[in-house]
Amino acid sequence: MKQKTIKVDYLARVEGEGALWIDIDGENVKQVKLKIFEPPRFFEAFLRGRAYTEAPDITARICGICPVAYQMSAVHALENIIQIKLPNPLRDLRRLLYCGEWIESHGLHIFMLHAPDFLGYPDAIQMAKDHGDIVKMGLQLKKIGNEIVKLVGGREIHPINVKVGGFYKLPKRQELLSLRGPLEGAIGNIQNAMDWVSRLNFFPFKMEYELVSLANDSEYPMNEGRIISNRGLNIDVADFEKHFEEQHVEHSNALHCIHKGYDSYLVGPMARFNLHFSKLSVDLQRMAFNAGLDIPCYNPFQSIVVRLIELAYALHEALRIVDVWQDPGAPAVDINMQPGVGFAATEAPRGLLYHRYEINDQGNIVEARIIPPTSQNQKQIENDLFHFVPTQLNQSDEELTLRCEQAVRNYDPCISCATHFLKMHIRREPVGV
Amino acid sequence: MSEIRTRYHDNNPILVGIGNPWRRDDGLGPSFVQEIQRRSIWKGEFRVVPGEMLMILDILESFCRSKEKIVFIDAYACTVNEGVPSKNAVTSYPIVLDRWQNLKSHQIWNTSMSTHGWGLAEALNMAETLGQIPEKIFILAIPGYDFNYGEGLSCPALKQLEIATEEFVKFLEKVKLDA
Repeated sequence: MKQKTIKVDYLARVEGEGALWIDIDGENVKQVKLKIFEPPRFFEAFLRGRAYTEAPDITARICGICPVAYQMSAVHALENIIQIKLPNPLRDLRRLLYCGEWIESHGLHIFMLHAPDFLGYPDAIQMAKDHGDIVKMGLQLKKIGNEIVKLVGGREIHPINVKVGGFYKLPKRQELLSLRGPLEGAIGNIQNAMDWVSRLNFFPFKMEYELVSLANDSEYPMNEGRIISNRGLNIDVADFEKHFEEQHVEHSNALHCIHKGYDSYLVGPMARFNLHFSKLSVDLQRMAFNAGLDIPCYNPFQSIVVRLIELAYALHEALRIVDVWQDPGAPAVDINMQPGVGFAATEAPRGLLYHRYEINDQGNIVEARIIPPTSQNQKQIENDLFHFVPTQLNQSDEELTLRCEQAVRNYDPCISCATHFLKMHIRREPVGV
Repeated sequence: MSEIRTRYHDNNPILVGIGNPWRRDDGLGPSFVQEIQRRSIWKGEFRVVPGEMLMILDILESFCRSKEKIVFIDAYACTVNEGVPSKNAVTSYPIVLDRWQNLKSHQIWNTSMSTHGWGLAEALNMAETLGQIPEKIFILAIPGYDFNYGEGLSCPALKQLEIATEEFVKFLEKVKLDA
C-alpha cells in the first residue's frame, strides 16, 4: 500500500469549526484526532461577576441550536443552591420547552444533516431534488419545535422567557392548545418517517460504550435526575466532577472529558435510549423493534433511528403536557438567593449538559463551570473512528473520507458548543514503514 | 400533517432584513430595516431574521402561496482592495438583484454567518427545489467589512448603509414595489 494523504477541506453539516486527522499505517490506524480549532469562547469567564439572574440568558447565547438546554441547566443549578422545587405546572412547562428543542434539533439533524449521508447526496439541497418529501417533512417537524420554543420561550432562537424560579410570563392555555393540531398531525406522520429511516442502509459496526445519562424514576430523562451508566455508575449530579474529568489535549480547543479511571464514554440519544428504553411507551418500543433496532443498540450509524424515536417521544410528551397543563397563576416562585454552590445536569439533544455555579452574598457569580455534551463525546468520536476505519480500508480514499465524515455526524456534534466547518485529512503509510 | 404557518397580510410586499447585529456588519440587514422604518418610505411589512436558512424558508413558503413580492436585504463580505485604503474608505457598492439566481455571481453567495453555513443563498436554492419560491424576489446586497463578534457597524458599512438607502429609494420609484 502506497503512502497517501487524503485531504478534505470542508466537511459540512456539523455546527462549529474543526478538523479531522487520521493516520493510517498499512492496515492499522495510528492516530485519530478530532481537531477543534474554533477559538475558546470564554463563557465561563463572562459569567464571573454577573448577577445570578443573568446566567440563563448569557448561557443561552452559547448555542443557536440548543439554547434551551443551556438555560435549563443554568436555572436548575442556581435553584439547586437554595433547594427550591417548582410547582408541577412550571416544571411541565420547562419540559415542554425542552421538547420543543429536541424536536427542532433532532428534526434538523435527521432530515437535513444526516439523511444525505445515507442517501448519497452532498447536502440537503441536492437531496431535496429527489427526496423533496423527506426534506419537507423535516422542515415541518422543525417548525413545530420552533413554535413550541417561541410560545414558551418567547422567541425561536435564544429564548428569553426563562428565569431562575420559573418564567417571566406564562403562555395562555388557549395558546398552548393551538399546538395540539400540529402535534397530532406530526405524530400521525411519524410512522411514515420511521418507515423511511428504517429502510436506510447501516454499516454493520458496533462499539462497546459506557453509556451515561440522567435517570429519573418514572420518566424519560430531560431536566433532572441522578447520573447513571450501564457500567454501574449511579451518582448525584453534585458528584459529577469527582467522577468525570476534563483534559486538555494539544489538538483541540475543546476539553476532552473522560470517566476517571475508565476512558471515553457516550452521552446523547443512544445513551438515553439504551438506558431508558423501558420508559418509552409500548408504541414507541414497538416502533423501535419494527425499525430493526437491537436493544440495546450499539451501532452508532443507527443513531438516526434512535434520534427519530426520541423525536417521536418529544412530540407525544409535548402533546401530553399541552393537554394537562393548567395555569398556576404565578409565572415563577419567589427567589431568595443565598451564597453557595449549585449543580445541575440536563439532557441537551446531544447529551448530558453539566453546569456548576458558585454565588456570593451579593448574588453574583463567583465561578461557573459548563461541560457540554460534544466535549464529553469528543474522545468517543475518535474511538469510534479508530475502530471503524480498519473495517473500511478496502474503500477508496474518497469513499473512506465520506464514511468517516458520516461517522462523525452520527454524533450531531456541536463544535460551537464545545468551543463551524470541519477540515479532514487522512494520511496512509505503507505497510511495514 | 397539519401545518403551522406564519401569517402575513395579503397584498403587502415584505422587506426582510437578514443578519446578526452581534456580528458587526452582518447587522446591515436589520439596520437597513430600521432606517427605512425611520424614514417611513415603505408601505409594506417589515421583518428581521437572523439569517437562519429555515426561518428564511418559512417566509418564502408563506409568500409562495400569496404570490407576493419580497425584498431581502443582506450584507455581503467585501474585501478591501489592494493598496490598503484608509479605515473609512468605502469600497464596492450596494447591489440590487431582480433575479435572485444572479446571487451566485456575487460574493454574497459565500457570506453566511448562519449556523451550518446556511444562509440566504441556500434558502433560495432550497425553496426553488421544493417549488416554494415566490414570483418576485429582489435582493439588496450591502457591502460589509467586519464580521467579527461585536455590536455596531463599521465606519465604511455605515456609509454603505446610507448609499444603499438612497439606492433603494430610487429603486422604489422605478419599480413601484409597494404601490
